[in-house]
Amino acid sequence: MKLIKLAAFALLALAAWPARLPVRAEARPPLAVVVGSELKLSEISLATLRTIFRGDPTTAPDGKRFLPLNAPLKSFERELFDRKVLGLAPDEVAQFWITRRIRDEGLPPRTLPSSELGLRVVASYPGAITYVSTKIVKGGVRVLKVDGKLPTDAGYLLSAP
Amino acid sequence: MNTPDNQPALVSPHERARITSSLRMSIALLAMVALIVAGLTGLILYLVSSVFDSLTPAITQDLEWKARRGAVELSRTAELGILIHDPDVVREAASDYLRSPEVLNVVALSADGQLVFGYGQASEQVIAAMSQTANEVHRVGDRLVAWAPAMIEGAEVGRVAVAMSTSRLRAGDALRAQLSLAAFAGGGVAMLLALGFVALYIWPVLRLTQQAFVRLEHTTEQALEAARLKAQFLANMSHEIRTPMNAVVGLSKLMLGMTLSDKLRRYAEMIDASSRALLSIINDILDFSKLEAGKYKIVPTPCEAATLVQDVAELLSGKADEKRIDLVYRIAPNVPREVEVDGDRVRQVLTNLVGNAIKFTERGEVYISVEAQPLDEQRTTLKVRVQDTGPGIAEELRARIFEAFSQGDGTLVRKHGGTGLGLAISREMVRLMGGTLGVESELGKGSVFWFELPVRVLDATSAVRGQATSLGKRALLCCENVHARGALTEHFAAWGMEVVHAASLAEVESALQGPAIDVVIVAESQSGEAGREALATLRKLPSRPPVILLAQTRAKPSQHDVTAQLAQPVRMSALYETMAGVLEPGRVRPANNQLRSQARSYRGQRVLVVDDNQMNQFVAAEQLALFGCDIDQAFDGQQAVEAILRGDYALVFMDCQMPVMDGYTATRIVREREQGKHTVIVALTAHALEGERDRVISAGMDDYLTKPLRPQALQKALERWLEGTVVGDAPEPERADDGLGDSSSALLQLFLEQVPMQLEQLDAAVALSEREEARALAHKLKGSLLTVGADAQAALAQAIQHAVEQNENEQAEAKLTQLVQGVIELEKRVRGELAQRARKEAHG
Repeated sequence: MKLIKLAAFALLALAAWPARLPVRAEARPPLAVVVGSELKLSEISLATLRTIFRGDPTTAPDGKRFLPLNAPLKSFERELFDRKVLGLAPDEVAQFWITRRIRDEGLPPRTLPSSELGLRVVASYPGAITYVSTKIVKGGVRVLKVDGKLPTDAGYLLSAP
Repeated sequence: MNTPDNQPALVSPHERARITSSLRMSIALLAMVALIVAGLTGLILYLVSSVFDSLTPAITQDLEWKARRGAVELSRTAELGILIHDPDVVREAASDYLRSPEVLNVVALSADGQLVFGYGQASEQVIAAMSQTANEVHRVGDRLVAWAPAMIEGAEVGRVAVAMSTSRLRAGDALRAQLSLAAFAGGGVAMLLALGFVALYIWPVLRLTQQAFVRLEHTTEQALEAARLKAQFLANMSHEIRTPMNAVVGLSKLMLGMTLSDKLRRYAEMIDASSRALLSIINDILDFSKLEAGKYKIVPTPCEAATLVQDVAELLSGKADEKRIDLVYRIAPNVPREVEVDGDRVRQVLTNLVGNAIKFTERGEVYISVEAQPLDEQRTTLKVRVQDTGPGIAEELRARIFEAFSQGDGTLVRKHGGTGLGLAISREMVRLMGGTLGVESELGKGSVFWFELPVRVLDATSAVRGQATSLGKRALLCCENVHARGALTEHFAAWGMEVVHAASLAEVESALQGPAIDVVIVAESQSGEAGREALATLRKLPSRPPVILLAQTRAKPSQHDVTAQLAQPVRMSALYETMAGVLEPGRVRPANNQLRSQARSYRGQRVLVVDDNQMNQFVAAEQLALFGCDIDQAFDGQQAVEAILRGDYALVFMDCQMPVMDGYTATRIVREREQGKHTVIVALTAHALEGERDRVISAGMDDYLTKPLRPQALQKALERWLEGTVVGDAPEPERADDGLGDSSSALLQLFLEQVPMQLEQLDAAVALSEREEARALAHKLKGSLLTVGADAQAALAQAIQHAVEQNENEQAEAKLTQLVQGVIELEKRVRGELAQRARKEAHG
């Protein structure tokens, strides 16, 4: 009886193992920087992107003020974007914004409760800009080239490591 | 008078007053309870109100703050939802608020006023409020509403409102109302309980207490009535018993003064002795009853301690003399001269103790000593001891002798008589005066009865008066009695004398061989013969110093040739005066009257003596006769006026207080009617008061003499008015003795006739409460007593006069009893004196 139980446990463990492997092995899709499709903009430089998300007022080519929207805190997208664009680790980002607020140099971009909401806001508010996983990109938004490269391009800046 | 079984049928005014008082007390109690309950309720209400008054604004503020904060916060977190018109996003952002029970509404409007998100009922009222000023709290129905604009990049994308419920405030209000109600209800219940308590418990207790009081009052009234009746009965009986007894005593005395056959005399003497014994018993029982009833009052008055003891010693010296017992007293030098004490009571106690001591002592002596132990500057304790050489008292009997109706030994009761109340009365009297009375005794050796009294000192100088006149003189004191010797020696020392003692004949002879003796004092002892032998020896001496005999027997003049004689117990002042007279001849008279031989003659001078008292008349006439005056008599003022206006008197001696017309009035009339002449009128007054002289002078009299009339004073008056020689008011020398020895036999006979009769009249007047008559009789009796030098008895007569004037009947009766005793003693001595003189005359 004891032996049967042991064997059953071992079988269950073996059954569970292959199911988790693909998740771990699956590569993260790159991040897509998106704006409203009405905005006449297809490309943005890393520097501009950095300027926008560091809270410095920046105007789009059609005169609209960019409204940067950050992915939820501690999300993969947020961490990847901060590291790649701002060049800062999460703690450093927090410290950066504390310093700026103390000096009254501006507020951080709004943080979205979800990336999906970001897509909807971007689609409905001209000037809104955010970053989402390329996986969830839908219609109504335009994916911008960053430094001349689309997410699908090799050497794309916001690709997952 | 009501008995417990016979309560009054109607409610008496007194009982009604009690019931009213009880009702008042109940109402007061109720009012007090109501007041307390109302007070407590008010206090609770006040506290509740205070708490809620301070809580309500705080809660309101909190709700307002929450509404404002909620609106502002949601405007920053839900703006994207508003922007994209997504109610779910807004709901997500407002999820925390939606879970709060206090948040009634959350409303989000787009910039164009369209509803993006609405939560809660009656949102339209909230939406209406959102058109008003932002960030302010608006009260909308049962909620507080605040809204804030949702801004993106400086542009309003919509509005968010939060409505907070005011239910907390309402709950507070409800709680306040509930608490207030509870307080009122509690107060009401407490009031009802209190009322119930009063009605069920207090009221019956009050009723019972009140009934008990009424019963107690009835009982007390009955007891008081009974006590009053008893006291009244005693007072009546006192009168009823004493009056016939005084008559029996007085009449037997009168009878004894008559010529009787031997048999009748014996009967009369038995009646006299028995009635006095019975009177003494009655007095004891009445005193005891008074003490028991708490009717005895202690009245402290200024008294000379020495005089108190001297009075008692003199009063009882006759008894001691009869039993051949020495009666000696000693006043210690530390005894203050004057103290505040009830002298009559002290005298009574001391008389009882000394009387007992004499009664139970068959041979030896009774020694009274007084010492003082100072308590402070103003108070001292007088320690009085009465020591006898009687049979003593066995230890087992000592405690019982102070019990009422008890004597140490039943055989003694039978032998000595008495009630056995004397010591019980004495002890109670001493206790009333704040002192203690006790006894020390040894069977076969005698007893010491003592009492100690705390007294106030009025004159702290010593009762043993220091005198300087005899300074340096040597005295030979021949005295066998140790105590008498000690007491005399103390006084001689105080007078600055050197004393040589001789207790036997041999010692006397030896002392006379030594340095010169200025004076010899021989104090006789009842038990020893040394004094008499010494006198016999002294008489044989060719040249001898003056001798003063302190004789044991008053009435018996010494058969030896002595310079002066005084009776024991001797008054020290009298001894001093006598001694001074002996040592400095001419200073004052010695005991043997030298005046008569020196008297000038006023033969042929007519003198009128006006006095209603026969004894005073007699004394004045007797003395004036010595000066050769022709004497006329008048017995009242009216007779005097007639006599003066009719006759031609060189001098008138006028008594002031007389029946028919007093001396003042008589003198005024004489002065009015005299024509061109002035009859010299000298007042005779018993008032030794300041101002009396002014009174007599203002009445028109020329001079005054105090009664009893003294030869020296009379001589001075005669010198002054009959010869025109003015003699200064020299101080009256103190009397050396009680005067019996100086009084003529005729005067003493007159005394025996007059005084008992006057006493009897006074007793009847006091008994019948004839105040004016009693006063006059007491005054008259005082005059009579003073003529024979009975100062102590005269003082009692004066006290009776005073008591009668003050309408103090009991006091008058008490003094009268003492006076009867005193007069009885005096009579005995007068008779003795007369008998002695008769024997002397018979022997040639």
